[in-house]
Amino acid sequence: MKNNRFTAAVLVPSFLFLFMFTAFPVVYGLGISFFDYNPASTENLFLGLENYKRLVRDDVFWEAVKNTVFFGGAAVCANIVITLFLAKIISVLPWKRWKTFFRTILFIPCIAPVVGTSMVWKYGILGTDGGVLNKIAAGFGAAPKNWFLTTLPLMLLIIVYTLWADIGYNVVLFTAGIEGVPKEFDEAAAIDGAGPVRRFLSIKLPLMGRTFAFVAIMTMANYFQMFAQFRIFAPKGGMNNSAMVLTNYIYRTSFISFDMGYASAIAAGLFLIVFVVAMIQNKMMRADWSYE
Amino acid sequence: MKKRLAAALAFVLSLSLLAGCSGEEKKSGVSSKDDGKTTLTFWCHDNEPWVKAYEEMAEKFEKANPDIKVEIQDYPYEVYNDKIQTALTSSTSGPDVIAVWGGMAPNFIKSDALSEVPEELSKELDEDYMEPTVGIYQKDGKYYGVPMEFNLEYGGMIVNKKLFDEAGISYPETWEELRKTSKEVSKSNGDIVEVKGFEMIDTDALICNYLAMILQQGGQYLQEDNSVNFATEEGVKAMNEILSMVKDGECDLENLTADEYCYNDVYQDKGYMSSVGSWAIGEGTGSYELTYGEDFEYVKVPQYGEDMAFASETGWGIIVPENGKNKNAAWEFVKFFSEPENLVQHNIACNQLPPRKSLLDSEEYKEAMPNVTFLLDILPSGQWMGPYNTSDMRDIFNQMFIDLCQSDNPDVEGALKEASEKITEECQIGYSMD
Repeated sequence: MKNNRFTAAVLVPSFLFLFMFTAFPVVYGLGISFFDYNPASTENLFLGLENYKRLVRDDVFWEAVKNTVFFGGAAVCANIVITLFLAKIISVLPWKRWKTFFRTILFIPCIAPVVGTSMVWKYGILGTDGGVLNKIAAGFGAAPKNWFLTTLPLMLLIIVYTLWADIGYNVVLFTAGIEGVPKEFDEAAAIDGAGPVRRFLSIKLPLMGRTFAFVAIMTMANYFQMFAQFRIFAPKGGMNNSAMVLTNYIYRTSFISFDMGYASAIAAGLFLIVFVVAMIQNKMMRADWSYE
Repeated sequence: MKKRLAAALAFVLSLSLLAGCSGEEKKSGVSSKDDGKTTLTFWCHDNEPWVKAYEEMAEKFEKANPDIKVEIQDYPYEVYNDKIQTALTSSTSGPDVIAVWGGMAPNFIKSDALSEVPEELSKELDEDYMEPTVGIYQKDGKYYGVPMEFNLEYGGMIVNKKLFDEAGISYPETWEELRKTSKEVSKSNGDIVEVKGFEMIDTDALICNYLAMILQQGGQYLQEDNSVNFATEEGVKAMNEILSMVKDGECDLENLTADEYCYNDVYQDKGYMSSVGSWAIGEGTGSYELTYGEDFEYVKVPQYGEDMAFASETGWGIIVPENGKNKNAAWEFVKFFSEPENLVQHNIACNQLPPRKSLLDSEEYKEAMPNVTFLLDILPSGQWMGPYNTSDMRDIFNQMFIDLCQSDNPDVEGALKEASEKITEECQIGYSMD
């Protein structure tokens, strides 16, 4: 009885926090998606499913869905492959100082604000006049290009930026995952004649299932909600909305057009996509949480 | 003991969480009555000379009304409109008076969160304010905002005097001379025009110049039912003229895609002429620390058509939230602000054009602003851009323009027709103005 009271007392703040700042806003947001909602108005018209019907007919919404899925898929795959590769290289470095040094170098962009680094990339690297990319192109004799007039190249450049800005987290997680696999398995495989690549792919990688599942699900959920870099690189969605993602569309609809009911309907769409993708991932990557 | 301590700590944490959510008074933006004085909070965006001008106005008002204090609070423009929207929803912590951009005003006016302009002031708006300055502040025949300026993005251009002097050429005086000079001085490299001739391809200037070019040919884009139609003979001709500027390498799309103003190129010696409102003079002398008359000048843009005509959107104005605690005092401040002798000083301090007809002949204004006096003559020729959300209108128009520039064989009339329909359908103000 005493323990129950203690448990309840400790859990109440967390549950309160969860309810007030997570569950309630989600339900409230879902609620206002059925209204022509303007928080400044005293009366908001109930529209029923009208906002959702509009969503189905909205070309920009579907373009944003396509771009969000493309960005999420491509960036997450690239992130996992690159971070695994870097983590493996770091884990085989002979000196601990080197390991720390490289982990730190890769982690530095993660602690810099995304808005700030996006601005540096936008004007310093992609800038039409004097940007690093155009200077490199000029070195090869190519004419300078306005990258913000492109469609796929701009999206790919945003992916490259995102990888640069975010890769450090997963490198740290994967390095810890690799180092957490008991050495006995690796040594036994080595005695049986397995090479380093085979040992990594057949022994370490499967045994890192829990780290892998965590990284994949968290990165996917995170990347589907990326916003700041899109707001800086393509604030209006880029050429023909080719870089319009759902988060930016939600922002533009709610804070530029002040159509908050419809923005909530778009947000419900994004919630559904992230939820479905996370469920699929969860099923596919059901990790074995022990090494036995 | 440890468990009790942990439980007590958890309880305190829960309380602090709830306390954080309480809406206690005395936050920024809350009107209050200290020492018998009413404090009004005035919100504006963080344009340095403008903030200074607001502070001077507040000081003058306080002298005339010793029982009222006005506190000026400025915010970065990027977050300013979001803050206004949030403030209008609050019943406890909103400002009393807000400076608002006309293009954003419909988003606030369409709600019932704004206080109606008092009758006496409304009468003045009808009688003494020019049509483009008040258009957007109307709903159901009533006014919900008071203009501070005549917003004009057409008619004047910043010229780089140094570059003109070095090239040994004079400023163009006709449209033909403008295009000829522009072609001669510009230098291209790939997608970039490294030295621009005449620039008007940015978010603000492009549509304003285009509309002026239609109207100056005797055409009209605004139909009787308030729908938009650019696909007229005059509209197609004007669009082809602008497209030829890009094709001839006189200017590029860099500023349009980067959401920057063209005048920056002129101030950075990367362009000769840029069409922009007179407010950009302050940027040259302020942010760029250039000398007017030595480094740059502000002169008339040569007219495209026979008759002077242009369209203008409603500029900066003042609104009073309905939820304000001191509405009467707030309107007193707005009335004081709008009095011709006060307004003209504010317009001078902010490099703005006056919205009142009675100020068009103001000697005080002409004396203080000799470089923009030529604009006063054309102000009566302006028409209101129309009952449209001009930010959304620009997005559609500019995207159409970029697509036309990117196309090898552009269907100008088709693109204009499509953009007109989209603008009419998506950007028209959804409430009755009359």
